[in-house]
Amino acid sequence: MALINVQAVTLGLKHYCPVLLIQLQKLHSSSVNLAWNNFRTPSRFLKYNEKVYPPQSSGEEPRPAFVCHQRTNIKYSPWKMWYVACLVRGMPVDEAIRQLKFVEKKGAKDVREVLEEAKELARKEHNVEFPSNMWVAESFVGKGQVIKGIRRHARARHGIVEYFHCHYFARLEEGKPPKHYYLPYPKQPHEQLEEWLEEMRKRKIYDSL
Amino acid sequence: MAVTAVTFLKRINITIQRFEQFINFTFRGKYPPDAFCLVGSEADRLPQSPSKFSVKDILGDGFLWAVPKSRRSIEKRLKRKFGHPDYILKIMKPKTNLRTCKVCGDDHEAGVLCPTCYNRVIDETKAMQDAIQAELKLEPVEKEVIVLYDGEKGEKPDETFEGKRIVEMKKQRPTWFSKNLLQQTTQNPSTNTDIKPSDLG
Repeated sequence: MALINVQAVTLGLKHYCPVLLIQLQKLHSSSVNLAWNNFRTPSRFLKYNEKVYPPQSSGEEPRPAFVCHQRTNIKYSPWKMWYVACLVRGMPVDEAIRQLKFVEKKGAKDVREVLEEAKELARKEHNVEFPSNMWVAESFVGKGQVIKGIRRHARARHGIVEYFHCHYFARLEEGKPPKHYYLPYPKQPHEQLEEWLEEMRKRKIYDSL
Repeated sequence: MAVTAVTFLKRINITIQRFEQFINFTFRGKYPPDAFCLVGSEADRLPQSPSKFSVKDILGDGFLWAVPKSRRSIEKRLKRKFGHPDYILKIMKPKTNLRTCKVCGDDHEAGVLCPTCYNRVIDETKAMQDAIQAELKLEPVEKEVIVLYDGEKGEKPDETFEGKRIVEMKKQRPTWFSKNLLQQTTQNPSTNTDIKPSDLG
């Protein structure tokens, strides 16, 4: 099913509107890399899961376990999903799942499911004993497939309607989350003092003995 | 000179009159044929050929092609993206009014009955109502209706159910549904007469 050629109102001028896609199917057998036929999903993020790190020496701090998980082509706008992804950053997983239950957005459901799946994956495949002892280290969104349609306006005009999809990526790390996810964070007075003292001590009198 | 002008005018008048007479004589009360009819003002009222489509129809109405006049400043962009705490904040903050239900363990907002527990009560109520409707159907309710679960009928003597209509539910009583709903408290009233200092005077 697919192509419907929509002819514009012929008022003396004959011009054809762009093709209206109803369902996406592979139309060509040849290697044509059209945007709307491109069904590749992002795979690089999941490759971080397969990376094998060299064994650590006894003195080194233990590297925390992590899980990368994603969900592709969620029917939601990436710009709206970004707000949900930002909420969850730097939170412990259970707290994140709990908060997402009360977020009234369509994307919140998918983000919640991704986090729950990631916990399960960590337990089964990544040798994490307590999945609840994890926090959301990375949470971001990518633009997915865009399906374009046409709508009519008055006076022989047309508008293009875009149906957006998004990919959601999450990385869970084992351990307690840091106090501040973003830098720079608002500092306490004693921290400010420490910083000021450091700056003062860094100064150098040039060409002195 | 004047004489020739006058005679000239007279001659014109005469020719016009003769022309009119000729017409009257020829058509004598009848309408003249199409060829002789004048197509006067009618022609002006005929519909013109349908106006051809021109680009002016779309552009010429003062239709302005919407285009940004100047670059959006970073402040405007950030305000759009994040909002402002004093107006509408677009970025989401975690909610601090979430509580855990001590009965079922699910979360709910503070000041709200736990939805899972409440839904459980709703479902049970609906089941009771369905059982009552199935039993009574369209009869008027003249007696008090009592709903009993499995095995409860035998517990009390039949005299307690006199004057009451019994509806039996074919299932076990839920553990959270107490039989004793009418007794306010099981504690005896206190006989202690000591008063706390804050309650004095």
